[in-house]
Amino acid sequence: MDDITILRELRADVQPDPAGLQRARQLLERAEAHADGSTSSRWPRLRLPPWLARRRATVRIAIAAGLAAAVAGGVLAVESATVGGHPVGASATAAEALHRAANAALRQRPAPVPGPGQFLYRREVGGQSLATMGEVIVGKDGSASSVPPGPNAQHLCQSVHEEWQPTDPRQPVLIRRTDGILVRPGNGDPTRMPHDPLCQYGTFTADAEVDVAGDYAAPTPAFVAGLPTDPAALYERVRRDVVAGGHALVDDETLVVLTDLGRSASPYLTPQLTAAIFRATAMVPGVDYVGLGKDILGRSGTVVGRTEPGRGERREIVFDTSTGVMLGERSVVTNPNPCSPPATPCATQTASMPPVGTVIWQSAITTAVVDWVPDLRRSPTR
Amino acid sequence: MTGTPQQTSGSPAPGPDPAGEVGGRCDGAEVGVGGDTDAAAVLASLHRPERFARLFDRHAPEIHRYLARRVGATVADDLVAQTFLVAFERRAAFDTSREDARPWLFGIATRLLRRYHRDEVRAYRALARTGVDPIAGCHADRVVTRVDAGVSVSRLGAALGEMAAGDRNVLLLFAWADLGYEEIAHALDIPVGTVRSRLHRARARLRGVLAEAAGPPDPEETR
Repeated sequence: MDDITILRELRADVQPDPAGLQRARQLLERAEAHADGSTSSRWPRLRLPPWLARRRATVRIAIAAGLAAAVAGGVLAVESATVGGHPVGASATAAEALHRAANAALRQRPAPVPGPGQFLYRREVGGQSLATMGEVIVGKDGSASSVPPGPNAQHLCQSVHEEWQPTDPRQPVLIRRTDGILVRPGNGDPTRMPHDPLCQYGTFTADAEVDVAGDYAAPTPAFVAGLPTDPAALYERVRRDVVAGGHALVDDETLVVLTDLGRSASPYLTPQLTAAIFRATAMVPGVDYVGLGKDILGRSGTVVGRTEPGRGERREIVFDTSTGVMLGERSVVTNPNPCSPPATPCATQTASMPPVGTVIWQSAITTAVVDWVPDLRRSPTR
Repeated sequence: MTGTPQQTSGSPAPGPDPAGEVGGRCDGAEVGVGGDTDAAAVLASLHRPERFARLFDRHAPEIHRYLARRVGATVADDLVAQTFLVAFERRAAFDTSREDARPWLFGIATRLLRRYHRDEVRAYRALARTGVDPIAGCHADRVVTRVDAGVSVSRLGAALGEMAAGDRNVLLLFAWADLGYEEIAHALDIPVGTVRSRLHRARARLRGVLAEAAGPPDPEETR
């Protein structure tokens, strides 16, 4: 039996889910119904996929039989209050901190943006606990196989991902991986960090692909220009995009997208838009005040966060209320066994999740305008 | 770091399997049903957008299955929707000299997969470490620990997890999407020579780990 035949047998039993296909077809039908028959061969106006481009490697939990079943005893679930069916958003303390940051952002000057011939340099520093980098199955009967914690479970896989983005979208982006090797997008795995034997399966800093049209995680001037600076309108816009993208966990994803935008460190974000991001974040149900904390770069700030029931971790944002800067993002364990009780038809969960309160991943992005890029030809080779 | 460079000419990699059924395609997707080609459907959809759904009906199950095998059914649900939404928006750019839209659609799907690169790799890694496949399904009875006698799935997981993303894309488009060299080149917008060299490198790695599992190399597997 040759290698391809063997490979073809792997996961050969995976079958399409009729319900998922039906939902996808409905989305397509909706798009068809709104089409006027004229099309463009240029980049689409539809902006559904790109904002997922910087999805971080949070622990992905596939819920097989509906989220409600996964809301188990012991899971730290943040209740979102509603008035007349409408969410009232973040807790009062969290909202107050976010609005303070918004006010501070409005006092800032716009950041300098790259001019012709210049580059936007973007550096993302990330860290992820080794314990969260492998999943196991939890069957319907509660059976589970997990990776033993081991002495290295708390080891933090750290990565630094650098990009030089030219102002001319026809020019190529340059990437420097964690191991210091320079690559062009598509010419090498940008996440490789083979220098760390415990973390050789890649890291979770940004993907190499840069959408010339921009997206929530890597906004361009044109993309920013299309975003409302009214907080409620921005919140609704993001939420609409999330729903249109077919996401079931709308509140969770809305916070992800707003945080992607806020922490992008993009110079194209105006003070008005930055303020709107903070205020829109205050509208996301379930966002709560956590306290003071630091991002992965050691910068201190205020922390708010949100726990999605069944996920076992709290997404947190670290921001500076005095400058209105969103510093970083991190995730903290709230329940080491989010798939309990055993009867829950939960799918995957993180193996040997560290104790409650452990930061299992974090990331921060900084940017600068530069006039030069490193010489690809003088880079070490793979 | 990633394997030994191999010469690109004279690659031992075979062409596409004409049968294409080894992996058990069970979705019933067909191309050009009843003389109505994909290209015709795309052309028609330029003025009658609802015609585009024909492409969905023909290919969505196959695309979904490919995506689900790579990143799991939950993410595949999202990605198959996004694949067809992107395709619909870009349909004017479709090369209608190509009757079959599968390479185009698989190319879009594979590009969308990049965002889930880390999740995909972690699942391979989990498979490598535990012998239990997170993607195989949620049910304990679908947990497969062996693909075939003598071949541990963990070794497959290790090979797939360690592979460069570009090599893995080519390999899985070949093995799981049943695309040929030229179709993969079109899907990924890369030269056919690059497809050959990537596939050669990926298969060399695959054979390496399988040989480790099986002991002395089997001449059948090195053809």
